[in-house]
Amino acid sequence: MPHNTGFMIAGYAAAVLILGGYVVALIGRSRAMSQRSHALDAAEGR
Amino acid sequence: MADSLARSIPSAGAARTSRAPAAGFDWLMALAMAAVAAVMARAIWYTPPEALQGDAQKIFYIHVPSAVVGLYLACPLVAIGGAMYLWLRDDRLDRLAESAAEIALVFLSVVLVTGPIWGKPIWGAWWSWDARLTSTLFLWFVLLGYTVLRGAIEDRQQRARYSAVLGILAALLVPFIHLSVEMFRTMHPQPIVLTPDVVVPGRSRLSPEMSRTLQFAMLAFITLFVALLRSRLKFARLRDQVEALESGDA
Repeated sequence: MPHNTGFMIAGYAAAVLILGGYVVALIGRSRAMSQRSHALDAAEGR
Repeated sequence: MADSLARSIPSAGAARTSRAPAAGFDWLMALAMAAVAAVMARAIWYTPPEALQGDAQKIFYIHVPSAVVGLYLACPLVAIGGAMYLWLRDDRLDRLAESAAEIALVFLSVVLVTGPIWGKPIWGAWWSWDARLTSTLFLWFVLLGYTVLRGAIEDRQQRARYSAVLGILAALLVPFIHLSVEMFRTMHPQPIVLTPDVVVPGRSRLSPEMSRTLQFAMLAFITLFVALLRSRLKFARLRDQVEALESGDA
């Protein structure tokens, strides 16, 4: 059996980076949008 | 004006009278991420390696579910959302198509990155310009173009109309990508998941442990897709509400 564990680790690390990075980015964008919404509400005195 | 806006953004009217919901803890997202992590742990430590390919074959458990979710769940949603938008002109359908396209791009990125990492030790090359790989890369570029196009057009209706057409055209590539390994001589293996061999007991080309890990992986990635789509749709709705308030339309 070939010894290629490094490729397996690299593949899993890449998937975690892409999927995890997207989840973190999506949470960050949602929070920023939520803050913009709250700022608008505050500016209108609500 | 306010009536038409309330129809196109269902909760825009509510945003005028109440604060938009704060981004709270997303239980479905947490569950999906835990499921994906558990599948990865099972694949790495508790699933036997394939005899000829070694540990590199375990990339299969993330590569294949990502391809199934990206190609067969997300891309059809882009086309359905786009086509329904062109018919009904409902902004919710545009948001569905937009969200599915972004998520398809993410899952296809996983496919296009993990594929070469798996291919290098098995084929001896990172990349081959064969039909399956090239058509998948082409779809990735079309989806990238879709997201760039959306950012480039300011008028909401024009943006939705143009991107709907592009989304439908992008999804037309999916059957071609699926059949590419049968229509052309390629280095890429024949389908393993969407074939009768997997459905009919005893005909699977995978060992029982491998089959079970693949089934768990499919379930986990589909859950992640649903969680991401739900979260992305929430974001898109909130963004549209905020933009409507900022432009003073509401």
